[in-house]
Amino acid sequence: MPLASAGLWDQGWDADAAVEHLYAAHYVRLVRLAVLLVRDVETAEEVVQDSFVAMHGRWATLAEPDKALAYLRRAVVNHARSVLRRRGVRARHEASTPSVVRHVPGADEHALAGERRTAVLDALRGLPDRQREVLALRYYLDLSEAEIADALGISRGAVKSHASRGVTALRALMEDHR
Amino acid sequence: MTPSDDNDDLRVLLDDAVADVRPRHGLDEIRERTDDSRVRRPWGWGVAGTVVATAATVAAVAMFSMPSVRHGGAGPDHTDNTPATPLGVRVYFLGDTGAGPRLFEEDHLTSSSSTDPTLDAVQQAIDGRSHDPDYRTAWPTGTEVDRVDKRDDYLLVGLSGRFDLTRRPKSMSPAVARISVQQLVWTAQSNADNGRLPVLFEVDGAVRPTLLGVRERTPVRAASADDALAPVSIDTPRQSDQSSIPVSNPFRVTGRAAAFEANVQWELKQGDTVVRHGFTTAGQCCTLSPYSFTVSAPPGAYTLIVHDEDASDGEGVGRSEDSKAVLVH
Repeated sequence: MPLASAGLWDQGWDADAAVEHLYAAHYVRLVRLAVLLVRDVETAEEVVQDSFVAMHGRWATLAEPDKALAYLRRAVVNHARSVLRRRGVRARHEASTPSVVRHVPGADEHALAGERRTAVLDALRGLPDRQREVLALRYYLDLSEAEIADALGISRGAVKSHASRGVTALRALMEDHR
Repeated sequence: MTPSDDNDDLRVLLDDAVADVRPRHGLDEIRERTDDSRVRRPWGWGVAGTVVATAATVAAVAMFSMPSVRHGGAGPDHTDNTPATPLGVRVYFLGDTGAGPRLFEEDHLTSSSSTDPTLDAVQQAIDGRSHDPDYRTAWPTGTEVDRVDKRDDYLLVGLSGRFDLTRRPKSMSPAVARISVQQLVWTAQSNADNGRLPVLFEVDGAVRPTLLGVRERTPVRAASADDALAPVSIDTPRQSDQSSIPVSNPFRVTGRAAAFEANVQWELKQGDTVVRHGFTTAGQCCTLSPYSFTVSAPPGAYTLIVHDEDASDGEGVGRSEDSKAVLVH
């Protein structure tokens, strides 16, 4: 191997190493993001694992951790979306029924906190997909408008309007839960 | 970078909502699924050369085995390892006719990543990837079908896009906007199992007073076939992809026409040369009714054109036609 590329190689990761490093740094946070999108932990884990597998397959074109992370975010949002589509009407009805509490580890330990958490997740599920996605990326991952626009493939103007409608709707839904 | 606004309480709420989520260890599962060598190999840094080759192989395999992206968005591919069996769906596209822009019908297969054939069909209508090069879509690029839900007395079709879909783009005529709305109504209805239910459109998750500038707040009913469909169309030979349709000799042509005095004319052309021509009559004058005729021609590639009365002699609406590329064996 020529020296130059050997040097580059030392700094770079192969697809497996990229998965390993990004997993260590971001897996938990991405799963939590996915929980905000799809609500139950098991599905969220699947969504994020699918995204890592897809990222692994794309590593050759991504090649940089930053790009790979941006790709992972996009993938999580998109996979979450297709899961919700697959679930279709059934899940929407369930989501609009607050009495259906899915398994959230630890919720039993702190009943009150658990109730509030359930209420937030229920409220999120009551939002249109785009609004939920924008709120999760903005207020959970703290992404900028530009980063959200990139992650969702929509304009910054659309991010703004989804965010402001989403905030209003989420606040209204949370009122209902009180 | 943290956007500055006064919604810090939402940050706290969302953070707290998932603070107790502790996912199970998932790295082993990911490793297993990204290892296509089927022989377990040491993970990690290993021997650089081996790892490079394997990574390249995985990337190549992934390119071929992953179902294609459903539409042109920025999204990554689906990674389901078991693509759904494609289903036949009916998709309507726009085409120009003497009566203005109208709908033409095609048979398509759902994409391998599809989980809802109706949603898939509506997305294909919007994307405009018709078999026939004369057909098109007028929906703004990036328009996405978020969901199709079957309710008791209507179909809910949720759309979102990069542009404000409630407004009619400047480049779009009101007639095109109206027929584009009908394009989705006809496509959704013909693939949903519950008859001709009207369609309620959502844009970005909410019902709006307009769609593409067309005022449609309540569920939209399908316009009548005479108002929505092309005055002349060819049903068979039918295109199943973008290539010429293989036919035997002689071959039968069927279709529907709403033609003056029910007169339907046809030509079989090679380039500009008319090789065969003839006429037939549709069942009834002036309303869409079936026609059929038989063509015989020597083996070769032709264009089959079916049209109504030639308008060269005068007034009234212009000529309407449909054409197909056929390959006579």
